[in-house]
Amino acid sequence: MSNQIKRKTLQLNKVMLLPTNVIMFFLIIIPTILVIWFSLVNYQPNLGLNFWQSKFIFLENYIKILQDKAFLYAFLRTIIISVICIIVEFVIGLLIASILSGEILGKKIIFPILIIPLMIPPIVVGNNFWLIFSANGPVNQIISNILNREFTVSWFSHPQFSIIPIILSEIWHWYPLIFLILFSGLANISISEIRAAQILGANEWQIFWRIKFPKLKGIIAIALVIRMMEALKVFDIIHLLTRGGPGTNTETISYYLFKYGFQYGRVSYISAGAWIILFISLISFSLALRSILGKER
Amino acid sequence: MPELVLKNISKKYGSNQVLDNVNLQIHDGDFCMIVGPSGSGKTTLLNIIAGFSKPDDGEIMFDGKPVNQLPPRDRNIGMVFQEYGLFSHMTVRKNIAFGLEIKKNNKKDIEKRVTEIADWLKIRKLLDKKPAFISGGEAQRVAIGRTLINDPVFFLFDEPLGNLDANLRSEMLTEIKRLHINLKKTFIYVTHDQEQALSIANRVVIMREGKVIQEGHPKEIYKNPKNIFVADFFGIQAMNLVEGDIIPQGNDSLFKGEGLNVKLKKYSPLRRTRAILGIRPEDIILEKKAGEDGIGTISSIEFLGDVNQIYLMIENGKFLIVVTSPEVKPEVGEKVKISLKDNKIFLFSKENGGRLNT
Repeated sequence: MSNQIKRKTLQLNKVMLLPTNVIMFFLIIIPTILVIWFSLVNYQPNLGLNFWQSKFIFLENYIKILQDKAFLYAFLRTIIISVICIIVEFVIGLLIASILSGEILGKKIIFPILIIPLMIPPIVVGNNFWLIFSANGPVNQIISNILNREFTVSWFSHPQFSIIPIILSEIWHWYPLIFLILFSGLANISISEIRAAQILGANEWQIFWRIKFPKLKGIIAIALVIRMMEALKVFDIIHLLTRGGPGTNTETISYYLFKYGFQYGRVSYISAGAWIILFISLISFSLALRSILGKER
Repeated sequence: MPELVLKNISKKYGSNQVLDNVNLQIHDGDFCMIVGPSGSGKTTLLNIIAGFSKPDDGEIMFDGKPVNQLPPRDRNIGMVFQEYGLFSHMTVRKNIAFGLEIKKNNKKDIEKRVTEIADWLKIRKLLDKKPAFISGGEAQRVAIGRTLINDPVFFLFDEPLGNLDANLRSEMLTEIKRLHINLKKTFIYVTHDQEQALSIANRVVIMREGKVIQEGHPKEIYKNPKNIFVADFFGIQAMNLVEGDIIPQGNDSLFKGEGLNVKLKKYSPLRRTRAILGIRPEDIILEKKAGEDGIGTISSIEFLGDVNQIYLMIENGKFLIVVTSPEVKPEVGEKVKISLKDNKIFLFSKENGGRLNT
């Protein structure tokens, strides 16, 4: 009897899941297969060929893109920007989360203000930072006042400095995410445990390193991985502020792929690049997660 | 001699006066139970002693020295929490060792001390387990062991048995009593369960709405409750309360109300007033002939092993609970005369609940 019922529910489950599966198939499976196929042929829409007429060239795209210095530099640049952003965001996020998890006056007002950046669309963030760092913008004026002389760096076309507004806007935009995740992690630590540690003689520093940090480890790993995935895709802010320039000085992986794909029309070439990046990210994230979380299991 | 003195402690949360001018002196070696219904401020008082919250007003002194400004870690006290508060990411061994490890003690000394404590509390086989894999009773032993390692002067217990089932509770209570006898340290124990207080404390503080209502030896409080709240709250069974009037009659006075007609021989003269008479279940005597304080109908009898608990209806809808020896076996529906033990009658003012007779 029960077996029959079980089989019936299983069938019903399949029917109910069918629409989702169909949508997933068209949205994920087909594009994935297409990108794999693109990366193995020489499809370039601006040459006037239809994609089914393109020629199979096997791994040539992969070899070419790995030999492209611009690609490798963009990759390195992305890693550097991401790592700097994440370290700073983590420190700020943890600090604010620790402060706010204590008893602070005006917590209910400060909290929503702090997470406002998360809710602002990237285009607005980009435009704001463009205004702030423009030649006559507040940043230059403040620096002029401090130095007591005229200071007019054009931040977005400076070969070294142009990366600074990008990093700052990324940090400003995304630190609330890490703060929120860490805050919820801290809120889950039982007050009795903290009090027990206090009364056993631990100071704040010891409580953090011996109690809070080990308990937060998992959530920290998750926060960093989520943020890292986001940071590796950084695109909009660069498009708005520098368009990868001056030259290719602020070009990240996403921007590189965008430029070659949508401006130069080299679809096959960037498909190969995208697969390489995905592959590297997958391996490094799973290794990172395992090394942080694995010991606990 | 370490002695704990609380002087005029007051604490407000918003407009809520949680502690109202609390004065308390706890002597060295006392087993002091702070009891009261929830919301009476007993946990807040304990947190103030521990240093987790600061009083708005008043002074805390350990051994004559004010400690108001000392953070919890410098107060040299041990505390056991209702939710155990064990460090869930550490083994039991690490939990017990924590208090010494943070002080950077020699590893061998720590290990020796941990094993000593574990043996004493019979938790040696738990040492390498994580708290998630031990039972509630075991967790509470570990929590106690963890406090022992620092050799504190005071031990604070915040409803330590609240999360345990009834059987385990009495077992752990005995264990805590044993601990007290062996350590000869001051124990301050907060609970809402006054039965625990009756059985093991040598000092009881009864709190209500932020005030200390009465303190003293449990026997003394039981024998001589200060007001109707203490009388009703403190005792294994609720006190019988009967509302009526006190009527002066020459040298004596009479209590009349809800079917009772009690001559108050010992407590005269009292003035005429509305009052509540309190009598504990074991102080009512059922007599077929001689009873003179009232007549009741037996409505049910519960056999509780060493005693019979009888529900006696003295008026429509008004019952008295009577506890008798099992030899007294009236029948349900039988009418019996009752008398109250003269010197066990409590009279409280209807107006403010204060004691009228002392």
